[in-house]
Amino acid sequence: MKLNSNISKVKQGALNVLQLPVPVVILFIATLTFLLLPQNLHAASTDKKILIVYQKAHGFSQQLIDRLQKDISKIGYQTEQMLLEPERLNLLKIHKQQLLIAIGSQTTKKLLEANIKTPILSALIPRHITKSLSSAHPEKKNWSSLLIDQPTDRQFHLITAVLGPHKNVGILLGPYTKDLDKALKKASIKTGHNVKIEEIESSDQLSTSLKALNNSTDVLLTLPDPTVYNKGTIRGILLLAYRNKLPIIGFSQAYVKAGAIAAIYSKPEQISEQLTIIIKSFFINKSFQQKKYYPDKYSVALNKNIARSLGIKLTSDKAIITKMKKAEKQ
Amino acid sequence: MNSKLSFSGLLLLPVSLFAANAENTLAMLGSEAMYLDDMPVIISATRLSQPLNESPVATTVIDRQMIDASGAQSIPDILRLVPGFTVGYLNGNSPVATYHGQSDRLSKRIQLVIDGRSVYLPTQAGVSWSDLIISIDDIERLEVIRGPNASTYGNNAFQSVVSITTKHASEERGHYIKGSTGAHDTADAIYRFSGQSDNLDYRVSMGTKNNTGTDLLNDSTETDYLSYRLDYQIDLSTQLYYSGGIQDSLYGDVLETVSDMDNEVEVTTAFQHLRLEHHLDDGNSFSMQYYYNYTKSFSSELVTTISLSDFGPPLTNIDDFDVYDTYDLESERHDLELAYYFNPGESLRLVTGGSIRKDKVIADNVFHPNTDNSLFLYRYFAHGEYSVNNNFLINAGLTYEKNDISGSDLAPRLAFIYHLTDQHTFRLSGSKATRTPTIFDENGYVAIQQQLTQDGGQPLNNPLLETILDGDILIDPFIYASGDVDSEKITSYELGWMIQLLDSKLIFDIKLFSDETDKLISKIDYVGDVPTENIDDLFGPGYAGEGAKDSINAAKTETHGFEISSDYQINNTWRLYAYYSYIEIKAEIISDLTDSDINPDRQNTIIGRLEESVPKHSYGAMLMKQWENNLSTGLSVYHVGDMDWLDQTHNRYDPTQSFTDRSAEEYTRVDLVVRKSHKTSGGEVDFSLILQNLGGTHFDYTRTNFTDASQQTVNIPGSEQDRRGYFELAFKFN
Repeated sequence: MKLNSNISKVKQGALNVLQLPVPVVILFIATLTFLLLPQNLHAASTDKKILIVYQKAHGFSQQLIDRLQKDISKIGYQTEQMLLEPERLNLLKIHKQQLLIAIGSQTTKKLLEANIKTPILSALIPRHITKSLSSAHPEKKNWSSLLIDQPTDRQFHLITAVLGPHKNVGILLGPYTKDLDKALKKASIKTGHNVKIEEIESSDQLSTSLKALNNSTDVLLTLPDPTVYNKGTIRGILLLAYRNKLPIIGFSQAYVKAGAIAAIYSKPEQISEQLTIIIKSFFINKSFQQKKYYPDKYSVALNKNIARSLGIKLTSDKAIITKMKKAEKQ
Repeated sequence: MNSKLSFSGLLLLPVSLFAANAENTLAMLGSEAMYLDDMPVIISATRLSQPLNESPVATTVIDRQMIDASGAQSIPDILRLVPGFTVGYLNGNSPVATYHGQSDRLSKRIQLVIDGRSVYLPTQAGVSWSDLIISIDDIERLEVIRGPNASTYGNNAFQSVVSITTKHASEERGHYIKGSTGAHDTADAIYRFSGQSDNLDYRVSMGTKNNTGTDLLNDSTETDYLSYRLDYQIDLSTQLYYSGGIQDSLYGDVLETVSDMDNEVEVTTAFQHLRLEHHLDDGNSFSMQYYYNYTKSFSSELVTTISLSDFGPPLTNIDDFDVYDTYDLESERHDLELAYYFNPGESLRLVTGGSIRKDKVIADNVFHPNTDNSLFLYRYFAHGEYSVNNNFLINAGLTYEKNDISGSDLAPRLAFIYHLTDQHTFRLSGSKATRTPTIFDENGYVAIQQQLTQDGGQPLNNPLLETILDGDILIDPFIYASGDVDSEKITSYELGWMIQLLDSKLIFDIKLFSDETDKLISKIDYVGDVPTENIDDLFGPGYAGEGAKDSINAAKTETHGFEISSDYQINNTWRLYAYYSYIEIKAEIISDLTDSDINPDRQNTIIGRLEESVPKHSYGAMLMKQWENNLSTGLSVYHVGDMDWLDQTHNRYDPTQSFTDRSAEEYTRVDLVVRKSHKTSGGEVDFSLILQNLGGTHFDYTRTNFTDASQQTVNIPGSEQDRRGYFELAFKFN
């Protein structure tokens, strides 16, 4: 870790004074890449400079950054990474990067506020934050996001694959997710489920709404709304649902570890793979094709012990994903 | 290395993130951290219940809806819903429950655990159902394992295990106040507060329970209790559970021989329970738990006054003396247990661990002098489950126990579970379990020991009497344990069939069973002269009634029968639960005892009592309905066939005894519960009306009258289960 940070300092140092020679190792890799790459690609790509900007890199985001740098290098573009600090924002404006990859919500927000002209592709960003940032920065055109949220249809496909068709799906929406109401209803009809939605404005209303759902639904689908699901409420929700034998579909791997039976999530390598495809397409088309992208590639986390305790037999994650993909195609 | 560092980084992240949220922009709330941050394990392996269709032994789960709909006023009341269980009220403050009969007032052969803590009382060698320091409102569910399960629950999980799970402290947040009034001057109140502070959830409950008891007996109740529970998330993978409580009670004490006397028994109970659970990164976990139970009970009742002078020389001028039935008992239990939960492979789940327990009883006049009345018990256990394939499970367990009284015992269990289809599951299981004799069985010594005086308190000056008595103290023991008692044994076989229809909304469970017990401990007349006894020297053998009683391994039983239960969630508002149980029992004296060990009359009594102790037929049903406007009702019917409790029975083999009543004659009980809740902006108001015994009065423990050996009709007033009603009013608010 210490070594990593030293390296990144060296890289940052190199970025600050761009005209200085790059370290020998990078030169060597670049030379090697140059020699190995097909001539036409090389010709097309050498001028494509991408800067991965981040504010905090821990665990998951660090893995994504590392992987992304490798994946981008493989297709012949130049990448650098940069820890975003306030004094560096102005430097970004004079940089020659053709594309900025913003890791996380805070990074995206800072870049948008700094009014940087370079196109931005955000990653690890939730849908509702892109929504609020879009309305705050309507002028920003060359900005797209690969969302961290999984599409609603896919959540219902997971429910079918895990619990079977025609389920009564309970959903708790809060201020950050209530705009999904229609989309969820539409997706449930499309996938053959019924939804029962309870909206709450504050966590005080949680207990009543959750009890209402417990009595009338087969499964609770959670969506990441901080008013509904936060550190203070998670224990109560999981325990109450478990007590009432109500399985929970979580929204992260950690949720599954905590007590949900299943969740869809994308691994760093899956996000990186999709980002790389979006980047390629961006350079070919000179713009982003979509304002936001949902993850194409995903994994499924399962808690077999809890499922079993609730009398639910889970097959393997691979079998579940196969079922989901089949359903998605239909 | 890397992952550990990032893990600790993430650990700090939520705090800083939420702190930032508070001061900064709300728009960034619910950022990607929600997806990426770790969360504590909430539903852990130790909390997981087994799916009913994979349980190695027939199991009944009574959930919160059923508890509410039953209108239960005590925990045994809830057990009326369990096939094979019989519940009786020895008196208004002493409910008793048993599975497959063979029980006296102490529920000796049931293991009762609350959140993993055994509440079996070493002093009484059983469960004191009124002194559990628990409010029914705090219970999340009861799981009743109908059969021995020593490999999981250890010592005394002999006939069945009742496992109570209380609500996690994070459930039912806010204030809760409930008042109850009704029959027999009932005046109960409960206050509970549940709150949260960062990673800590806590609950404090306190309550008082008061009534004048049933009409015919001196069986009032005055109980006050305080309990608390803390659930603390130390870090993402470590949870601490801590609970404790204290209860003070004053009960009207029913002394059957002198039932009109106004006596009382004071009982104080307390407990402390600490459990630490840690989840490892590989999905395995371990737990460590320690608990301490304390009970003190005191009663002193004047039984009779003896005038020795009435017997003439050499007992002239001897002062009269009062005989008190005095019990001053204190007991403690310390128990430390370590367990490791692990999955060596995808299809194998194991738990292994060990525990050490110390029971100590402090009591005057109850044990042989100079004996160490403590019992150490060591236990090692391992049980696991192997999925041969999706349809076939093998469940096995083994417990090794060693204790100071009966030495070491091995209790194995093996079960095969086969899912024929998604709807049909069969289980075949066999298990053995033991019940350790109590300290009282081993060291019990209860005697009238009276220093004789004469002429109004002067020292005894009667050389002849002093020679006969070998001093001036008259000793008449009525309990004299000769010791050397072995553990009771049970071997149980079960064939089960579970049918889950209509998407598991209709569940049937059928259990065929065959149980054999051996070495059941019974009281018999002490064989030979009791070494300390000198009253016989004065009056001749046999004067003092039946002489001293001893505890020995005397009998064995064979029990066969079947139980069927069904739970039907008819729709979102209707639910019907029903069961039927058929039991046959045969008892005999164990073969290595002869007529000189137990006299034939006593042998008949032991056999007769055991064989009468099980109702052949019993059934019950409960219809639950959720009406519009938050109105819910529960209608329950319970039917129990003729039976006797072991300490309140006649001996059918003794022709001189022709009792007209059983201690629990066949009865049908009908209860109705109506609950209405009204939600307001600030909280909730609940009204409940509980009506019990709508079908009429009956007695479920004590007999009303009988004809004794001299053909006299004796009337012993029983605990009358009369028609009664309770009204409850509860408020919930934040």
